[in-house]
Order: sequence, then structure tokens, then C-alpha cells
Amino acid sequence: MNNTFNFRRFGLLLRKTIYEKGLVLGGTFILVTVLIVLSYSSTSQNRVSSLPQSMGFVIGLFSVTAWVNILLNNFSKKSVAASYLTLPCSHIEKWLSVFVITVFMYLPLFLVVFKVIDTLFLNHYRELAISKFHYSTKQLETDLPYLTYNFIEKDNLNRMPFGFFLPTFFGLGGVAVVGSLYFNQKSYIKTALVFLGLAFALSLGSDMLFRAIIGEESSTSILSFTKAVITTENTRFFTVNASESIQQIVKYFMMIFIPMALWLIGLVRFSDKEL
Amino acid sequence: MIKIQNLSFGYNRKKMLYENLSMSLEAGSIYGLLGKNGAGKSTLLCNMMGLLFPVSGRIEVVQHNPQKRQPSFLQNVYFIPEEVAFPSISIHTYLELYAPFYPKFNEHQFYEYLKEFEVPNDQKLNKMSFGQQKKAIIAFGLACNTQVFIMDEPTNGLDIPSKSQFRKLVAAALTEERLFIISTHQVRDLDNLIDQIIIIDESEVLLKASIMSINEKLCFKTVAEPDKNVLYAEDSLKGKTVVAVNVMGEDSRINIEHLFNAVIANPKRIKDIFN
Repeated sequence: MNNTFNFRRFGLLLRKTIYEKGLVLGGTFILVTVLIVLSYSSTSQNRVSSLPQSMGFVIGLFSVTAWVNILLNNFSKKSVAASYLTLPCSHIEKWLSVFVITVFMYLPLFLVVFKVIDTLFLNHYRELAISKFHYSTKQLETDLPYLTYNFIEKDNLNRMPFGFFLPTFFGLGGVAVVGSLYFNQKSYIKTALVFLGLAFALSLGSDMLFRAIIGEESSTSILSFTKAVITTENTRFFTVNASESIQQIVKYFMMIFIPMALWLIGLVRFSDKEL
Repeated sequence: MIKIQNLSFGYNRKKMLYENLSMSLEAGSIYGLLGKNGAGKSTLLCNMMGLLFPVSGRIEVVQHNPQKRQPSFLQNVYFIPEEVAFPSISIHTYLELYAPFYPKFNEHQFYEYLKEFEVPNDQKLNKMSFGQQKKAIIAFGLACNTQVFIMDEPTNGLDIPSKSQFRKLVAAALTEERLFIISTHQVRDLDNLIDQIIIIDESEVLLKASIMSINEKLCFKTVAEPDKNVLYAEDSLKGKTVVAVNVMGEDSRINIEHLFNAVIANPKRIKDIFN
């Protein structure tokens, strides 16, 4: 018998998970949709589309953590944990079911719903802009552009760069996987606290290190671990960039290595998990 | 069918619950695992199921290492924890979602067991009383026809008629290829059901013997005055009910509760008698 992966078993596990958790997952998604709609409604006076579009990205990105947490919320009760851990499926199948439901259900659903909301709201805003404020076509394209999904990074916020969105999506999903498998009780809150604590410590640590190198008389800030902005006492700004190769290494480390490592730690944790 | 060699386990490295525990359990028997509250019965069962990992030593269950929780192992063992928790689904849906994971599951048997237990099969599982839930999961576990069936305090929450139904069904479901382990601190619930008794206390196995061997070596009777062969005595209406060393080869009916008290009160003497 194949103890690593079996399509029939995997299918049964997916069916069981969707049946048992579908309602909660659906409810969470409706909440995400409502939040995006609210963000569009609340910014109707600004006559720019970039703000709700950015908020929509953020809502979508962070909601993946809730989605993953619901899928792995099996360890707060011993009876539920025992039933889940002794279900005749391999660790890979259990891990993959979380990955598949997140990537092949949540992600496309979010992207489609987000695009639909954006199109509906922008149609309405554009009509208002033309009838009330007499916008020209050029103004519409500048201030109220539709959301587009792009693989190439653009300066426009309304063009959602997958090169940034996808790694962050997988990274946050990975954080939620690891957190849900490490903490049995109140895993969502504990994971969020640890994640925020680590992010804060890392940011503070790198700033302090840089300050120690440059000197106390100037204020510094580190951006994306590859760029430092130095402000001297007479308010002169200097920007120091890391070399091209270092920037590439940091970029790949942050965008590929960390999300992959988090999901793989989740897989290993499945096999180590005890009651 | 289950081999435990030099098992050491503790929730805290400084205070081990078990040290160098060894025993072997064979198919075709119903083992009663008895012990006081906190003696480590559930912990031992969780180690056998791969839900907790030993600090050292080796456990082999149906020729598998439980720690790996491989599907080929998990579909051959079924575990009912003390507390049960069900999703908000009907019995029919539960059957559809969970039964396909167990290749030897028998649907006809399942509905027969439910009928015997008088569990209504049109209700949602999470809306049932605790006792009904317990009976539903026992019926499901029996119908899985796994080689090893482990139950932790299965009679908790069952009413008096259900306890006798439980004994009847479990006794009828036993075959030469199957092994049942029932852990309980309500020793009377296992009267006339188990054919092997394991008593654990203070991190060690104080007694592991068959009913036949206990009958040969100990006798349970009522006497006017206890003599030196008496291991345990309890006042009763007709005199003193005692557990004594069976020096005369008397036939008696085992009183599990008295046996348990005798073992706990005289662990060393019991070990000498049975080794």
C-alpha cells in the first residue's frame, strides 16, 4: 500500500474537509467580500481608485491566514485532534489538502470576486465622474483606472503585481500553517503576536545595527533590507542601495525561500505533531 | 499484535510517567486496562496510537511503528478517546465521509449496532446527548473491523442498559484476528467482558494476567476472619469479602473491583504470585 500519497485517499480527505469546514470557510469569504465592498464604499468621495484597490489587496492577503487557520483548527480539543491525527491519510495528503484548498479555491475565488467588485464600483464611479464632474477620458484613465492583474511590477498601484502578491500570499499562508500546527489553543492570536513581534524585532534590529555602523548623529531607516535612508542633522538625505547582486539575493530569499520554507516546516510539523 | 519494549514516556523529562515498560498483547483477547485517575492509562493508549511519542523504547502495533502514523497502520486501528466531538453532520453523512477510509468497514453492521444501542440515525451528531454520541462512535469503531480497537473510558456517559449492550456487542465483535483494549477506572463496567487484565499504577504494570490465570492463583470469597493468605478484605453483610491467594485451588468468580484494590494495596506480593 502506498503510504505516501494515494489519489483516492486524497480525494476523500478533500471531500471530508470541504464538507465539514465549507460553511465556516464560506462565511469567512463572505466577510472578506463585505470588507472589500466597504473599503470601496467608504472611499467613494476621493474619486481615486488606488486606495480601495490597495485595501482590497491587503484584506485578501491577510484573510488567507484566517482561511488556513480554519482548515487547521483541529488541535484545540483533544478529541478532535485525535480524530484528525488518526484519520487514515498520510502527512503529505493532510498538508496538501490545506495547500490545495488555499491555493486552488481561496486564491482564484478572491481574485475573481475582487475584480468583479472593482469593475462594478468603478463603472459607477466613472459614470458619476462624467455626469457630475465632467471628467475627460484621460482623467478617467489616470484617476479611476480599473484593477488589472499583472506579472510585471508597475508603479501604478491599481496594477496588482503578482510578483509581489503571490510570494506574500504564500508567505502569510505559510506563517498561518506553522502557527496553527505549533499552537494548540488560540493559535490565530498567538501566531499573529509572534509574527508581529518577530517583524518588529527584525526591523528594529536592522535599524540599530545600521545606526551603530553609521553613527548616532544621523537618523536612519532600512527599507526592504536593501536600501537605507540616512538623514543627517542638517536634514540632508542620503540613500544607500545594496549592490544589484545583494538585492537579488535578498529578493529571492524573501519572496521564494521564506514562503517555501514555511510551508515545508508545516509539512515536517505534521509528522511531529502530538496531542 | 502489540509489542512494547522498554517504553519510557513523560510529559516532563524530569518526571517520567513510564520507565522501561515492556509488555506484549496478543490478538483474540479483550484487554482491560485498569488504573487510578492519573495513572497514565490514556497516555499509554495514546503512545500505542502514535498520538504521543515515547522518549525512548519501542512500540510495535500491527507490525507498524505508530509514531509514523502511516495510512496502512491507521486503517487497521481505531481509537475512541474519552471525550468525543463530532462535526455538525448527520450519521449518514458521517458514514459517507469517514467510512471509505476503512477498507473493512461494514455498513450493515454499523446500522445493526446503532439499532442495538437505540441511537436515532436521523439526528445531527453534535445535537445528540453525550451518551448517544459515545454509542454512535462505538458503533462506528466496531463496524470498522480494524485489527486493533482501543477505547478510552468507553462506558463514561452510558446509561445502565447501554453498558450491558456495550458489553454484549463488544464480546460478539471479537474474533481471533482482533484485539480490543478497554481502559477504564469504572472496573465494574468490564465484568464478564474482558479476558485479560492489565493494572497500572505508579509508572509500572502491577499485573498483566488472563482471567484464567487470576482464577488459578487468587480466590474471591466471603470469610468470617481474614487469614495470612488474604490480600485484601472488605466488610460485607455476611462477613468479610476477601481476595486471597488460592492455595486450595478453589473456583471463584472474579470481582474486578476487589482484585484492583488488592493489586494496588499489595503490588509486591501480587508480582511475586504472578511471576
